[in-house]
Amino acid sequence: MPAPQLSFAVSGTKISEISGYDHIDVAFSSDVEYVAFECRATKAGESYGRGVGRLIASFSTTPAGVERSFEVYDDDLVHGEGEYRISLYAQSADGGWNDNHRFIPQASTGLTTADNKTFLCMR
Amino acid sequence: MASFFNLTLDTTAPTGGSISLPQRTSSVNITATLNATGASYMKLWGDIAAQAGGAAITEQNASWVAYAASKAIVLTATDATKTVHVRFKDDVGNESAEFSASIILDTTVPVVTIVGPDVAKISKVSGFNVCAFSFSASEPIVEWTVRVVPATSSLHSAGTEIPTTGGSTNMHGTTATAADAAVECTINGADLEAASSGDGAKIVKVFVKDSTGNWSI
Repeated sequence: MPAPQLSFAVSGTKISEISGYDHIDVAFSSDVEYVAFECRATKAGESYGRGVGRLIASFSTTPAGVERSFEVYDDDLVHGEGEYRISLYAQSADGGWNDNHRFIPQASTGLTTADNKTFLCMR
Repeated sequence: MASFFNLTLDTTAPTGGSISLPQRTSSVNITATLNATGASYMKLWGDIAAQAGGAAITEQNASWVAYAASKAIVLTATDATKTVHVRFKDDVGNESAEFSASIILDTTVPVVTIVGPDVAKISKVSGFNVCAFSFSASEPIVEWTVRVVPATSSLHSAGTEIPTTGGSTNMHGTTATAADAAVECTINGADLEAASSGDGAKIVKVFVKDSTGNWSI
């Protein structure tokens, strides 16, 4: 089973501490069933990954195509002003996560084996 | 493949806010010059109205409008020192402190009082070619002009200012003059003819301007 591919939409890209402007809405769904989901916030330019940064939202098993939503509040961005990376991680039933991006070189779509077949690189 | 997006936390209000107004105005319609870095919206209130003759706008009933470096505003009607306040806001609700500026609204036109002339008829013949009069204004003035005009109702831009090449005096001045201070003038027949050729009765009118720019009528 492939790693979940998430589709998501956000209501904005900037928030403040002011009521009415202090959060954005995030809605997402997966192309396959996932058994775990987590959203984390890390300051731009800093280390990120599953288990890293502020946990904003988590969900358990959810069928493919079912939309979930949550909010990201200013209180979730705990390292002061500036840009944050909001990462969405989902785990498929076979244990694969969708965060293998760090192992795929930029400008490529994946890694290939010697017989030119793509493979999933896990850490 | 990982999914992520970038989100910016901005808790800083617009900075460098300011508002400036002309020092004085003779019209309720003026333009405010505004500045604020990072502003998306602004709110103005004080001695301003939604339209001419309207009630003053308070901060509570002022509306946020798109930020602009200049804004046409309407002052409330009564002559006085008017104060306009502004507050700026960015696109995520951070509001600046309040800034304000003042302007003097003076729509009152000065009134001219003429004493004289000493003669009602002149010629170009020596001994009969000069008439004298004086004028004063109801408020301090910064300029005056003495003109031959086509009608008693003419305004300051009408007709022809009497020249001084023939010896007339004080037909035009830019000396600041106090209220009720007399300005002595003489009109020479040759200058009167230069301003309005031909024999006959001439309408000579004195116009004065106050520091706001209001001309007498």
